[in-house]
Amino acid sequence: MTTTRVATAQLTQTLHAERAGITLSAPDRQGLLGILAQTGATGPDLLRVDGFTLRSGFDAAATPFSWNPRLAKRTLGLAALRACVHGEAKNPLEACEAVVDHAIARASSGAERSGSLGSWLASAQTPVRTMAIAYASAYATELWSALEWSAMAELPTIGARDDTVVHRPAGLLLKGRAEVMIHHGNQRAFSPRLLVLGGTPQPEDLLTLGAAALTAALADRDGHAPSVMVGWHPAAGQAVVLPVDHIVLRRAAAGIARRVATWRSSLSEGPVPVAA
Amino acid sequence: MVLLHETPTPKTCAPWQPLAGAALLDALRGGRSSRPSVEGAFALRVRGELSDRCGELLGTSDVAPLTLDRGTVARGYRLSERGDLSVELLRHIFTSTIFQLQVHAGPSADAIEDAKAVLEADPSRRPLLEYLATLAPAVRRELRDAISSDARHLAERWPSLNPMWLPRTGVSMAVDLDGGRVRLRGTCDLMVGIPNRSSASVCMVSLKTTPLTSFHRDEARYLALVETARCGVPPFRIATYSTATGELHAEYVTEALLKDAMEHTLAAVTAPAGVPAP
Repeated sequence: MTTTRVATAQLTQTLHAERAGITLSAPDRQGLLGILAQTGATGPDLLRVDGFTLRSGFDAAATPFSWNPRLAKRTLGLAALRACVHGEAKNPLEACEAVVDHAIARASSGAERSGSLGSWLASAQTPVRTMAIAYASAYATELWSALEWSAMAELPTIGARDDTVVHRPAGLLLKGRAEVMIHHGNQRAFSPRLLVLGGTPQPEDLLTLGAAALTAALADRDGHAPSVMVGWHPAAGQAVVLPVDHIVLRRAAAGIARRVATWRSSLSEGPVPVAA
Repeated sequence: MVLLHETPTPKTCAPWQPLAGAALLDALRGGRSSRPSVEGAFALRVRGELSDRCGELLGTSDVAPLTLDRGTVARGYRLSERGDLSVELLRHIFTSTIFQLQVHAGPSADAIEDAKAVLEADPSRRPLLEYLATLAPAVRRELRDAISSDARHLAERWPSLNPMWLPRTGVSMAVDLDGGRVRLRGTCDLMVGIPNRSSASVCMVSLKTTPLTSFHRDEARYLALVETARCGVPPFRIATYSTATGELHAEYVTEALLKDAMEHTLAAVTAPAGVPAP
């Protein structure tokens, strides 16, 4: 299992490279679920496992969520990017403005639930909305200019719904995201995925990408896994490339199980006494 | 190296006026015919060369990872003293926020309140606003006057930017060198132009709330270096704008400029913590 690093300029080529994808057989799937189940559920509540909780710790998920301009940038930025790539907007800034206007209109008509991005935008002060547009358009611009969209034979999926796997025996809710899924030719079932990550490439990227690939494979009805996961760090201008195979998925499952077990045991032990 | 220093000059008799509107935009762009270029192969080598030389400087010593930013590199300090809350920092953050809002929505009649609303919506700014609340009324008045002046100058002078030029504010950059032993980080207040292209097409703008000094020029050059290491393509132009005076330092990015920035950066790598580099 190896990762490589590529520069932003090589992203499109990397995502389009021919790779054989893997498909989980029933025993493969049971084996992966068995690794995850080693942690054992501690109650009826499901522990959310995704890129955020793997990076920030499971305690972070306990903090009540509330929108702010920084947190809104991904959702707004991806919607704006989609409009640009589909030829519905000329540039990310105008696309973001249209996305925000649309979300506010939906909220005003009662189509948005309480706590949604649309209802937050509708109630936010104008300058706060402007700042949300500023963050989102910068995000969309970086991604828009990082890939050669015209070189793609098929329109990619931008900002698809998260993959979701509920694993009751382990008490886990696995969530996997991808900002962009590339479709080409007969590899459609194994669509390469691009994740946008913060900061600079880190060793932890391996688990982040592996966990997202594992979730995608377990969530897929036919057990298809993405052929490759690419974690792009726009701030660093580099991407981490992880071709997906059975070893990657097993190690991701084991990595998740280890993190969860450690966290759960820390809860049962209570605070660690500090030596004098 | 071309340095355009838009400051008062004794050669002219007319009183100096800060650039505004189209003239400011022209100065940011530079003359179209005289635009120098950086050899592509050199730009692509910047990250590797920086990393190799950091490795040579640090040797096999087991040092804690170093993080450099534009302030530390320009002043030859290894560790940043920025981040300490101060009235100056408050002014800079308020004015930067006003600038960001103006770039995306035009000038506001109530710029300070708008900026405050934005900062209040950002949990990471809470310590800053708590610090603001602790200031004496006289200090707060003085700060408000200074920010009002910055906002007025921005509204009067700063040109509106066409969305087709892809203006983006607060762009974060971070480049790890020598296996992560050195991190170069920075935030560009404004970038204009298409990023990630094979030829230089981005103009980077830094905003200052003080009169400009040579430190600010070095800070802008450092950011150009980080952008080049990040993208493998340099920005074509860098600029620093002072809201206090209306001064604009703008220059084309050349190979010589990047080499100069590289030497400054490497000097900061070996500078003792908190002590100016020789």
